[in-house]
Amino acid sequence: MISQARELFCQRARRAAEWKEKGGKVVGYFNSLTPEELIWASGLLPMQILHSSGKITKSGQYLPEFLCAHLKGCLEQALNGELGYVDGVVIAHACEALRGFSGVWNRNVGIRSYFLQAPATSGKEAENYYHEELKLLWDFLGELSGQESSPERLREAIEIYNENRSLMKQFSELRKLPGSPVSGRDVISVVKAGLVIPKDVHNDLLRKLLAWFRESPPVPDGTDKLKFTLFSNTLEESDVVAQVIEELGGRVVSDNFGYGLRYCWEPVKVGSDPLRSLAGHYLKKIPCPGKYPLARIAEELTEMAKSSGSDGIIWITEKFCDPYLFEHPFLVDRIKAEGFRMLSLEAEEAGNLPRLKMKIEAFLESLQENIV
Amino acid sequence: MEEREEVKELRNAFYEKYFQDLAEAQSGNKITTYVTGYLPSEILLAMDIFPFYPEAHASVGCAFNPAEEVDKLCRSAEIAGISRDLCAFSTCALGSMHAYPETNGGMPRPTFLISSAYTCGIHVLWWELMQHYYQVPHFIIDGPVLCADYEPRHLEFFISQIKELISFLEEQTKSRLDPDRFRRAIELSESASWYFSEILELRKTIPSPISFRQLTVEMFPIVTFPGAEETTNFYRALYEEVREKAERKIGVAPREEFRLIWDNIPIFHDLDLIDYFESQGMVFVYETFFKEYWSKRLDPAHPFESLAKKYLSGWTNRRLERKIEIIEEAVESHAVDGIVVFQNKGCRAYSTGQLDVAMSLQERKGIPHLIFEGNMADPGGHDRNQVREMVDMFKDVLKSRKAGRKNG
Repeated sequence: MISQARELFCQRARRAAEWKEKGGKVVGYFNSLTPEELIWASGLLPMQILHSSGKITKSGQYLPEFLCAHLKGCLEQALNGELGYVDGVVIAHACEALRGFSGVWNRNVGIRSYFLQAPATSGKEAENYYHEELKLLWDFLGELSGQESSPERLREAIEIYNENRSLMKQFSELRKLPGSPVSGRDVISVVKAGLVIPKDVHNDLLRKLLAWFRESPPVPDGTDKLKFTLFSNTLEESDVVAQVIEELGGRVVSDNFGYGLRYCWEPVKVGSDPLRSLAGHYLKKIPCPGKYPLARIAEELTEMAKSSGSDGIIWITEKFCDPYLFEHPFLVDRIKAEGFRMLSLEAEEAGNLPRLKMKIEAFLESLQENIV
Repeated sequence: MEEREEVKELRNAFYEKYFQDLAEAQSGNKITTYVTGYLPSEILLAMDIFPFYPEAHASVGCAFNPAEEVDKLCRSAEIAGISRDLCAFSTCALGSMHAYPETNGGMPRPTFLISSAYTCGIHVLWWELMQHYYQVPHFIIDGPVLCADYEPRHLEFFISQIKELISFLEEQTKSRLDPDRFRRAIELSESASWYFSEILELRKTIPSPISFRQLTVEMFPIVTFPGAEETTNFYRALYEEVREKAERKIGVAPREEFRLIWDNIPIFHDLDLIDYFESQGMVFVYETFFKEYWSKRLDPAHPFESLAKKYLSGWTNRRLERKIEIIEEAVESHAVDGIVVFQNKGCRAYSTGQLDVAMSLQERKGIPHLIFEGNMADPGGHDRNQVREMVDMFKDVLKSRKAGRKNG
C-alpha cells in the first residue's frame, strides 16, 4: 500500500488528466500557507506543484540564479509545458522570492494565478484582513470553477481536511514504534501522495493503512535504532535523506514538513463562519518559517522532537531559502539548550549520495558514542 | 561649480543633530529603537524617539570601510550561524554585533525594536534575531504586500497598524504622541520629500546636475530622519544648488554621452563603480531605489491615510507590470539610452522580476541592458576589474546602437 502511495505521487499528471476528463479542474499551489480547503470547497482539485530534479535552463532566463531550486524548478516545469493539467495557481506569500515570482509567473506562464497575501502577524486586524483576502480568493476560485460555492460546502471541505489531519497524525505516530513496519520514508511517501490526490481518496488510503497496521502490529526486534526528527523545507530531498538514514539503521520518527506534522498538528476549529475559522487557523497554526515569531516556531518544533523521543535532528534546507536560513540560528540555540544535536544539510547535498551517506553515517556514529 | 556654503552648513547641522542624538542613545540617555527601512519614522521623531537604522549602518559601513573589514563582518555573521546567502545588510549588521560585542557593532543598545513586513518580510526575521540578542520588545508593523496600487482595504489595514504602533510607543515611553508635534513632523517630512522629489526631477535636464553617487550619500537624512527640521532645511538648500546647476547646464561628468537607469540598490562597497561609469561618459539619471521610496509625498491634512499611501507604495510592493510601465515612462522622461540591471544577491525581493524588466525594455523600446550579479553590502566574490570590463562592453553596445540610429 505504501508503494501505492508512491505510485499515486509519480502518476500525478496522468491522474490529473483523468480528473479533467471527467470535467474537473485543477488548482496548483506552492506551499503550505495555501488554504486547500477553499480550493476543494470550490469544486477544484488542489495539487501542490513540487519541483523536479531536472535541469534548469528556461527559468534561468526569468529568475535570478540565487533563488531557491523549488521556484526555479516549478517555473521550469511550467515553461516546459509539464503543467498543462493545471487550470490556475494560488501563490501564497510565504517569502520574498514569491513576491517577485508571482509577477514573473503572470508574465510568462499562461496559467491564471491569485497572489494570496498572508499577514505576518495574527492579531485581530490581521485576521480581519486575511478574512477579506480569503473572500477574494474564494471569488477567484469560484470564477475558475464556474461552480456555486457556499459556507456549507466549505464546512464539508474543512471536515474532510480535519479528518485527513487526524488520520495523518495517527499514521505519522506509527513510525515511532519499535519494530514498526511503517518507516519514516513511508510517511513521507504518504504525505507526498496527499499533496496530489483528492483528500477523500487520501483519507481512504490512510484508513486502509491504519487497518493494515492494526492487523500486522510491530514486532520489536530488540535493536535500539537511533531516532531522528527531520526539519526540512523540501520533501523530495527529505525522502532521499530519510532513505539513507534508514538504510544506515536509523529511523525518522518526526518532522516539521508543512504538509507533515505541522499541517496535522491541530484541526481547524469551525465556528459559525467557516471562512473566518479558516483564516484564524492558517494565521495561528505552527507557522511556516516565513511567518513569525521565529522563537515560537523553534519552541514548538523542539517540542515535537522531544515528544517523539528523537536522539538527533537533521535540518535540510534549499540554498537561498531566506526563512529557513533565518530560522537556523534560533533552532540551533533552542536545540542546544534541550541537549539535542543537529546535523545541518543543504538540499543540494542529496544529489551526491556517497557524500551524503558519509555525513549522515558520521552523525549517527557520533550520536551512538554520545549515548554509550 | 563649488558647493554652496549653505549646503555645507545645513548638511553639517543635520549630522551634528544626528550624532548628538546618537551619542545620547549610545550613553542610554535617549529612548532608542532599531527600525527597518521605510516605515513611519515621522511618528518616532514626533515622540522624541531616536530611530536607528541597522540597514543604513550597514550601508555606511560598506561605503566608508575597506572591503576587508566588511568581509570580516560578514564572516563573523557566518560563524554565528547566519548564512552569507541572506540579506547582506543583515549579515553586515548582525556580523558587526558579533565581531564587536562590547559596542554592539557600533550600534546603540535599543529600548525596543520596530520592524515592518510589507516592504520586505526579511526585515521581521532579522529583527527577531536581534530581539533574541537584546531581549527587548519587538513590534511588527504588518501590512499588505504587492498593493502599491492600494485599495481602501489595504489602507485600512495599514492605518490600523499605525495606530497600534502609536499605542505600543505610548506604552513603552509612558508618554503620548503630541498631535501638534505629529502634524509638524508630517509637514516637515512632506517638505523634505518634495525637495528630494524635485531634485530627482531635475535629472531630466541634459546634462544631469547631480550624480547617482552623490545621491547615495545625500539620501541619509531623508531615510533616517524624515520629519526633522534639519532634514528639510538641508534638502531645500541642496535643491536650490541642484536647480542652479541644471539652469547652468553643469553636469556630473566631463561629458555625458549616455544616460542610464540603475535598477536595484546601490553597491555600497563599490561606489567607485559609479565614478567609473561617469569617466566613460555614462551617467545615471534615474534609479528605482531613490524615486520609488524616498520621493513619496504626504498630506498633513490626512496624516494616517497619507502615511499609509507613502509606505505601501515602495518599489518592492509594486506589481511587475507596473514596474515595467514606470521604467518605460522613465526612459522617455529622462531620455535614457540604457539600463543597468544589478542582480543583487543581497536582496531577492528587489531582484526577482528584473530580468523581465530588462527583456521588456529591449523588446518594446529597443533599450539595451547590462545585467550583472553582485551584492549590495557583501564584497565577497566581487571582482572590480571584471565588472568594469562589462561596463566597457556595455558602452560598445550603446555606441553601436547610437550609430545604428544615426544611420537610420
